Amino acid sequence: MSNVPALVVEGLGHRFGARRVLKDVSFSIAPGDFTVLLGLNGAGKTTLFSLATRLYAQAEGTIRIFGMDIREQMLECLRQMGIVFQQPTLDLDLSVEQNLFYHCALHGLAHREAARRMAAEIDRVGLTDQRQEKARRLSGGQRRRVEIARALLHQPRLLLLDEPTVGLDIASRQFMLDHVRRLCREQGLAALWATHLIDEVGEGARVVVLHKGEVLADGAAAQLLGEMRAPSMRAVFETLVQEREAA
Amino acid sequence: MANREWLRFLNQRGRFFSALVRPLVWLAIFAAGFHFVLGVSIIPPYETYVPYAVYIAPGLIAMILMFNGMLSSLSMVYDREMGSIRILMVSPLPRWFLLAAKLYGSPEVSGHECAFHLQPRFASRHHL
Repeated sequence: MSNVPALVVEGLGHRFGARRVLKDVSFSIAPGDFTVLLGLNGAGKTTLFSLATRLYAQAEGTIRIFGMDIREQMLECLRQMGIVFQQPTLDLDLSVEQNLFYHCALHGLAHREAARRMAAEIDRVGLTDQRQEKARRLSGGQRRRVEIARALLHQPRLLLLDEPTVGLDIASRQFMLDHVRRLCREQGLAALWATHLIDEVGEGARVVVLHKGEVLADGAAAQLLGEMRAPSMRAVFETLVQEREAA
Repeated sequence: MANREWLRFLNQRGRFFSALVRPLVWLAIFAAGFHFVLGVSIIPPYETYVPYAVYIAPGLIAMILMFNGMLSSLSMVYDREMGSIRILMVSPLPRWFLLAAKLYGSPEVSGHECAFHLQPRFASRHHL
């Protein structure tokens, strides 16, 4: 496995007009890490993802994907990333297969290779029987599975997931968590999972706690629990936020 | 991206049928109905009367292009609102290429639709 960090964020800042939404955010993710970006609504998680994917142009700080500056080598960086957005992005007028072929075409995959990868990814998320269904007819959980399959078609080395379990039931949420963790373990995929749900922070995960645009903590979940002598991640999070609010 | 425009054109039943029906109403009903009533008298360089159906052909093409262009622009807005445009924006393709491909898709569909509706006109001109 390469030693180059999958994602390095240094001194990242962003404003919407006069309102600062990210301030001096710094953290890194190694290949094979499953990292949870934990923060309340409005913490800046989606803004950070938008900057990392160049949906927004960054003005402050640097973002490097496998050592490449995203401002200078944007296309190559995007090639290394798979993204699952908070908002569903499937074309509802197309079938599952058509949506996936479209994504493969955008990433320059030949039709035969695209068909092979698509069959494998659809099978992995358990939607082989629904491949001809229009995306409109799928449930929320099924659409999310298709989005995860789509994000992996071009074999990215870094997976960004922005609140991917929003609106899903417990079983679907657990499926997605287990699936992504398995990918990190077995394929060395680096994953950054943004969420406001503390129970999605598993034992082996790294956690970056983001609050009102600032990083409050960055480390392994077990390490944070030990350092703060807290019984749970919820207690860690609440303590960090209270200390920050009091400062 | 052009393929996606085609798929959406064909899969959106309402859009597909209105795109077919709109020009066919002019051709099949108005043009056929006015065929023996309205026509353009002989004007050089034409050597025969210009039937009404031939007369409206350029306007028909303009109407097809206008409506398809409008619907394509609306679909771009719809993509932005629904979020599916993000998939384009985070693909490893230059932004200018994405725009050019998006702008190419609609005229390609429109061109084929014009060719489809003009075919009866070409056929009938041979028989005139």
